[in-house]
Amino acid sequence: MSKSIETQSALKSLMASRGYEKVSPPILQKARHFLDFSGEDIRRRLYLTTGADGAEYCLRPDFTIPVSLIYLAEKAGTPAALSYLGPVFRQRADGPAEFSQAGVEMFAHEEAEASEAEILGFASEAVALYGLKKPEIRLGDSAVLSSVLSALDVAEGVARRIRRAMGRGEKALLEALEPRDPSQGYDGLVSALGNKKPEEARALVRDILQLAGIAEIGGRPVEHIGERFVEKAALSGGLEPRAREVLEAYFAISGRLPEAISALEALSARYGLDLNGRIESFKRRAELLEKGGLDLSSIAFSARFGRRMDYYTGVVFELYDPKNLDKGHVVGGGRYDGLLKALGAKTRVPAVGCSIWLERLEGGK
Amino acid sequence: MAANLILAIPSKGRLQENTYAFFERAGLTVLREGGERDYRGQLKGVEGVEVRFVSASEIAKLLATGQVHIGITGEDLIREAMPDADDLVHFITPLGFGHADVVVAVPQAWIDVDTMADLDDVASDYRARYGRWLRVATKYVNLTRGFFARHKLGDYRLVESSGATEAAPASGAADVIVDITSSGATLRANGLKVLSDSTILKSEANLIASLNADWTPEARGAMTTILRRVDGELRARHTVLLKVTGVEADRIDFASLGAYLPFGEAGEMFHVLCPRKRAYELVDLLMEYGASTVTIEKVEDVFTADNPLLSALMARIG
Repeated sequence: MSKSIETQSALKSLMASRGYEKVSPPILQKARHFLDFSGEDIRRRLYLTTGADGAEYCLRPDFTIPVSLIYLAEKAGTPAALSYLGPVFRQRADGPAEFSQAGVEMFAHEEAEASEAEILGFASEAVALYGLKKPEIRLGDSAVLSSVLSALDVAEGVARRIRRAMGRGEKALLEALEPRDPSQGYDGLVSALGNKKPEEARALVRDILQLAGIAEIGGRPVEHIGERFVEKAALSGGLEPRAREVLEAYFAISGRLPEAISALEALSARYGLDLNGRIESFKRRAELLEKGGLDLSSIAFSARFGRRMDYYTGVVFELYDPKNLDKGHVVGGGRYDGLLKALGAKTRVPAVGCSIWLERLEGGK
Repeated sequence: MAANLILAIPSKGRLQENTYAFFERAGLTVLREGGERDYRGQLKGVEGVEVRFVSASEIAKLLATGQVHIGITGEDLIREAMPDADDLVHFITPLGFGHADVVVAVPQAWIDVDTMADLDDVASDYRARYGRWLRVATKYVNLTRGFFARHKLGDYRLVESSGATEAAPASGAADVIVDITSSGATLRANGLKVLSDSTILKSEANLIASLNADWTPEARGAMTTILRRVDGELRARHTVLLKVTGVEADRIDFASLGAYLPFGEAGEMFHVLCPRKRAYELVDLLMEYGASTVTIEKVEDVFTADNPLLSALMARIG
């Protein structure tokens, strides 16, 4: 017990020595900050309660959103690195409801690769305090996937489906590349709608619904239904062969970071893809990581690796204890540039951070 | 006198009527002493059975906790009340009434949505387009969560519905619903449709035993009597008796049609018990082999030394 307090103390010193400012967000948070971001499967893990004012509150399930709210309220506009250490609460079948996390969130640092290297460097030093000197680091990057999809000009509906499949497992990802079942073939309607302007398409679908005696109910406007109807028919053949080939080759990229970078370069050269500077960014990040003392061969990149939280927009990573893989990751983090705007910031604020699962490092769950 | 066995049956509606009829057919009568207002009753024909009249959803909870030994209610209510239903209760037999499907229903106007995969696509785009989550109205909170999770659809929110769930999309309270339907007529009347793969559960009323109840020897005794009658009636409903002359029984493969000779062969005529559905097939076969006359009769009850319903139950309660 006292050993864990000692190590936590060392962790706090480490965070201070790297220039992070400690913050202590309230344990009881306004539920809507989390509910707005969570579908039903995450929502049911929250400990919810109602305040005397009738508003819904919850016990914080993590620190990222609470710390981001503090940044917005007190430090908006300036670069900051805010650290934390304390309990979080989640209803779960496979572990205690209350457990501890420590971590850091870096806001408004424009040099993306430098801040990512900083976070990863911190994560690896933090786990070393717990005796994990050679963690296995898994890295993914949804921004690279987005640039590949965009270079291939993949239709938005399919692109969204593929991006969604990231973090759901390999099977989901491969399914997303497959053509869907063909639509029942309302070719007449599809071609009638195909080239119409939005107002004409709307009128056409409206007329058809009316003729069929179908009431227009539900939250989706008729023109969106019509658009998706046409898109579905167009996509029923699946990806174009070249796009399919490139994506399969991309998703096959997996290996130690230096090899993965070479594979990305080879892919881009072979198919003449303009990946919008993402490979250069990757190389810069790798250089900075190495400068910060990380052994690049301890980092495994996989094009299929993603994290489930919706607000991640770029690099994501998890650290594992190689002797205890089934315990789950001991550190998880990534870039989430869209979060602060979604929380109410007036402009986009780059943000990247990580959370350490203290009990997992101490031998628990 | 303490009851040996507690039986819970629905307190109102068609479920109750059908339950009474079911017991009647099995030669057991439900007696409500104090008239319609009484919450307790007896089962005429079996000693020591206390009948409790309770709402169908409450019956599911009583079975889960073992406060009643057996009950009649819908499979949908059981599976909604307990995700681990098969560990807590034993489904003795479906009863052939109370059929209803628990389904996901979306507006008919969504002509671009035919499958759960389509719904997943639409749901994942909802927040970006409309600034809010897809709302699903339902009373079947657990069944819905389980089904959507199996389809990897997480981008939605549940809206509990207290009144008529099927009216929620039209009133704007929700976008899609999960509800129970029998003919689909109510759904259509509310502008809704079921997808090709959105049937969560095909439910009907079942006779269900609680694995947590106190199964004393007296309770087991009462159960044996009840199940003998029930099994007899159920089998008879699906079985007919054929009387055959003019052909030798050992030339026919009765087993392949699920039929058998209950009384052996003796003399010029033999009897065959055959599933009603296969009876005409059997007649054709017998005629082919030269039978001169075959008659078919309905059967009132079929009792056999081994009662499969009872054996299955006893195996579970140990």
